[in-house]
Amino acid sequence: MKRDKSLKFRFCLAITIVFLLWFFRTGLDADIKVPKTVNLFVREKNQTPIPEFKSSNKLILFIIDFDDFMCLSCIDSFVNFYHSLPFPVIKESAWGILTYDGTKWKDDKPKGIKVIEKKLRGFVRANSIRLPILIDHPHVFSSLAAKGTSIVLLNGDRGFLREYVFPLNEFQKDEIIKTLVE
Amino acid sequence: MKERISQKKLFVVLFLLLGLSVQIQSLAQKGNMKVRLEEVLSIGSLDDDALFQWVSVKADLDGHIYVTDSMDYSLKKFSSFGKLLKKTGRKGQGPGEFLAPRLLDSTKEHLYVTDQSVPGIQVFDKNLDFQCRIPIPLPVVDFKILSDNEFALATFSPNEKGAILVFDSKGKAIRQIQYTDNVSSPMMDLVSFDFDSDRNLYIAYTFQDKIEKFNREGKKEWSLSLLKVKQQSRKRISRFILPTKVVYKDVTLDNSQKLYVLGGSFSKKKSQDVYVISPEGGLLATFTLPEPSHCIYIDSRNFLYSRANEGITLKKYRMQHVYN
Amino acid sequence: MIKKRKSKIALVLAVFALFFCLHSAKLEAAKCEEAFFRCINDPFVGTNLAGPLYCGVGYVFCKKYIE
Repeated sequence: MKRDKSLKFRFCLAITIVFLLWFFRTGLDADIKVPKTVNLFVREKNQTPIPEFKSSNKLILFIIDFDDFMCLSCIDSFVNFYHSLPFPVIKESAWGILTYDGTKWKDDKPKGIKVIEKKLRGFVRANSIRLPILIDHPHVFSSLAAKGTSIVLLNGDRGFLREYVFPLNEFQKDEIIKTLVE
Repeated sequence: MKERISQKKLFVVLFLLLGLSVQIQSLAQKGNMKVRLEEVLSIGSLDDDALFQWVSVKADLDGHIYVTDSMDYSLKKFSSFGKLLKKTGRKGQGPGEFLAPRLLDSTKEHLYVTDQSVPGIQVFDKNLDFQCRIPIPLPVVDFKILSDNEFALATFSPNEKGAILVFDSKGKAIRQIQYTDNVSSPMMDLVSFDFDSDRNLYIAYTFQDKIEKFNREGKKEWSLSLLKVKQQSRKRISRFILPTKVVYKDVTLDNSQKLYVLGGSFSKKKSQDVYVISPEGGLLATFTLPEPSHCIYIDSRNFLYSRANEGITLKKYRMQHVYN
Repeated sequence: MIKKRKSKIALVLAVFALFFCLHSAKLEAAKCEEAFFRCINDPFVGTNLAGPLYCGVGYVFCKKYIE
């Protein structure tokens, strides 16, 4: 009886370990997958129309991952794309959100915030970024930046949201600019 | 009963002997010298705009401090008191411009700066005026100026044995110092290095637990393995297999030819432990930087420089060597 | 009996904790690997023969700076 119980326990433990291994299956040899363009929301035909936005019906949100300041190709792609946008789009329809890993400075959050603010200041100045950029202290947008610096494009006219992750290819750049200017 | 007591006694004695031998061993490993750091200068704070993400530092004989800053694509010159004297550079690939300013070295008259994204080494005078670009077709992992006419660099050498390449001032390769006997993964053979005044070469592998010295003829004098790293973790990314943990981050020599090696992920205090090694290859001391750093540098007056506040601050320390 | 149960529960919790710790450490280190992946898949870098070498330099720098 005791033996049976002990065997049962060992069996459960083995199953738990296997489950955990499967759950965390992105192991040392796993490939990192290329993040694809994601259609976050597509309106169905029979749904009620969205109320009109007050200014533009389009919004481009740059979700900037703080750690990407270390990744040249990621952040360069963002800067180059930003500078390719028509000025009216930047002025009226573009915002930036800087996200960061909240656990990094859990021992000294005020210092962490100052580090982020200072690096953002340097980055914005050096790259002539005139975008209003908010720092995501409540970590509302963290999940969007999980794949790195990206764009969330909101189109009220057509009723969709799309996410694009940097670096962008030419097709994606054309698609975004076309959506914004049409 | 008596047997049991004597067995217990034997066990206790053995345990004490083991503990004592471990203590002696660890003392021997730590060395018989202590290094104390006294902060003498701090450049860049959380509130000013002096430095944003500094990468490399050099000091000249006049005490001026030169720094590359990757966040604002610049090369900066500070006084010995930490006042910003001049800043040069902006984003670009033209003369005096940077996409990713990285390593820095100097001679009496000139400064040499590498860029992660742009091949070549840019040369500036001490007023930070651009002079010329030395064409180097290879990516630079580490480099040192040997004289006005020669410099050495460490690079990736796929399908070739690890070697430090020596170039002339025009960018022509003139010789190489081979430090590996076999061709292996180019990442695993990456090194940080320094030369002493006798042109002896000291290397610390970035992804292997090896620190080595080669004399000026290229013959290996000694090889050390301080951290007893048994296995390096690797990750497959597309068709590449990359090591994931840095063993040694940087090396520098002081003016008495002692080698200082900054440990990485395998050190007790990651990116903070510094190992001091004698020219004969003995571990003299281990000390810990106050904050993690990506590099260390010791100037000609034996002041040590390292990072603080995630690259916003450059700290300068006076080192005090205390012998037991 | 209660002691045995307690030790079993402690063992299970320890296994869970171990896996969670390992996973969070892996997540932090992955930033440089992700950056390398995006660099070698950057269309501009991909057309250049020496592109992956420069991505490798960036990877090493990232590892030294971030870790």
